Amino acid sequence: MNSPIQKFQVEATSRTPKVNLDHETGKIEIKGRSIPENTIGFWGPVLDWLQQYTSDPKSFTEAHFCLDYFNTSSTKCILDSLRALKRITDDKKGTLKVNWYYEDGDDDMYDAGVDFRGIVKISEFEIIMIPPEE
Amino acid sequence: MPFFGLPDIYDLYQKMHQNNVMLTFKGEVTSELISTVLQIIENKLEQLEESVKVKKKVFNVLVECLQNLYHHVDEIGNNGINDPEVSDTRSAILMIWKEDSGYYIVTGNHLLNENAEMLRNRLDKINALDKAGLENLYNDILSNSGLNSKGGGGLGIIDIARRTGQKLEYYFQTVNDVYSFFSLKTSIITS
Repeated sequence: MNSPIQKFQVEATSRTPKVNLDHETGKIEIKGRSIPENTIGFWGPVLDWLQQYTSDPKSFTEAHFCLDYFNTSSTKCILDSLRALKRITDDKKGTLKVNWYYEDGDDDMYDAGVDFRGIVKISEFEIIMIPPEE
Repeated sequence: MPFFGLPDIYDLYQKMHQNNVMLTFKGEVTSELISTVLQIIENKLEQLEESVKVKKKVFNVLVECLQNLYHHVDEIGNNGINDPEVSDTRSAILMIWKEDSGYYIVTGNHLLNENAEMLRNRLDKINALDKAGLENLYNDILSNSGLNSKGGGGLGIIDIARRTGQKLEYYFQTVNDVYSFFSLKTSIITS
């Protein structure tokens, strides 16, 4: 499949996050909650896009994971997304920074960031606290 | 003959009220039902002005409990058995209540006896692990194995155990030669 890579955008729902994948700016944004029953149905296209993007990425890619909630079946998909992104630096095709956000007080989301960072071993992986909503 | 006479309804109401029952449901757990339950509980946690930590924990654990019911109810009738004792296909029970000590979630569903044995072994294995053991198991499954067809790769129940830091309380009731009823109590201790 050699068709030029398109922007990928979906709006958030009560069960799935907002996704904004932009090959022109190298900005990857996943924001909201990921708690669908059919995880692959939602994440499959995101993973496909990332596979395609990382074969020809911008010189600098910045990914923002800003999740309120995710279920265990989304965990594997988030991990696969991070692994896909890591290929950018593994293949020396560019630099990568991942920002993982957690709400002040949400220890579990902080721990999840630490776990992912430990498993994927992306060197530029920052865990950032954001103030609680409203 | 109805199980409840009208005078029993007030009784039922009082019992639920006194025990701070936030929600109870019996029936098929569909995707729409899960959305509705989550919305109701999220609103209640907001009204109760719980901390971010408590809100997130209760919500997360509830998601896993509901999705366990959604994915793992053994469909009745697959074996060509028409069994009046368990005739309600995919039907489950759910109850959420609050005590001074925290939030409690009970779920119950039918499953095949052969699966009951497997599940019991899994639960005992998980209950035997300490905090570090649970983390290791969780990360091992996450980094080494794919998702199963149900999506979770068996992570859900481990996630409940690690998030709550409590042992999983469970009970299996044999219904007949084919089916058991599995009840699970999850405790989210807040004080």
